[in-house]
Amino acid sequence: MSILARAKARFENDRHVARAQAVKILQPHLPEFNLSGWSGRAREAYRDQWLGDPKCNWDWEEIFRRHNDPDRLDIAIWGANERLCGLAVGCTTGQALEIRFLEGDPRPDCPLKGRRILIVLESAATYAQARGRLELRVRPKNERLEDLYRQTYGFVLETRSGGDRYYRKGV
Amino acid sequence: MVELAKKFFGWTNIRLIDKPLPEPEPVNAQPRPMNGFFAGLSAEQKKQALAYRGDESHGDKSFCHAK
Repeated sequence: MSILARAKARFENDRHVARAQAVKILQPHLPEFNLSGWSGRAREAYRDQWLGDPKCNWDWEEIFRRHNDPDRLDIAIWGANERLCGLAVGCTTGQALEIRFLEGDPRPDCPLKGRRILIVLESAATYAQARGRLELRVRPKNERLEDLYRQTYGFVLETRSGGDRYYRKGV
Repeated sequence: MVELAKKFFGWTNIRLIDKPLPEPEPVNAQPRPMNGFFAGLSAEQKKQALAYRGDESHGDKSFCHAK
């Protein structure tokens, strides 16, 4: 097995462990849910269940096509009855894992509404730790989300030279 | 330094920009204990996190669907 193939297998194992651990830790606190990666099943559910809804924001097929680093963290959140409740992708950068995109089921009756961030943070933190990364980063797009990350989750604002702003938290 | 450059090269519009250096990539980062995220929150933070029902979407707007 080549070095690259070994690395990819290790990344896949870390992703699997991170998702499984997130389910184990959070399942007692949340309605029934499960996690997978961006698979054919997730793509099909995205097309069938989300596409066409006017509240569906992101073009996920393009997002996963463009963010195809071998060590990306792709997350599909599933509710009962094969309901696709959320999608997210994170990429490693320097010492951190940055959650680049996150979207919840655009339908208003999703049983995991409001809790999908927590599920993604749990998976991302576990994956970051497995990959030896030291912090999580997010770029919330409005004040309410900034408040959530700052006050509830304990993230702090970082501004780099050039005006690049993000929130970070050590994990 | 700018004055020096002007003198030698006759440039009149030189700007030295403090370009941020790329972050170092850990070449052999060691896995750490996988404690996750939720376990590190206080009881009050956990309560707030589980009670949140607001907007969750974020990402680069260039990947938005054309509407």
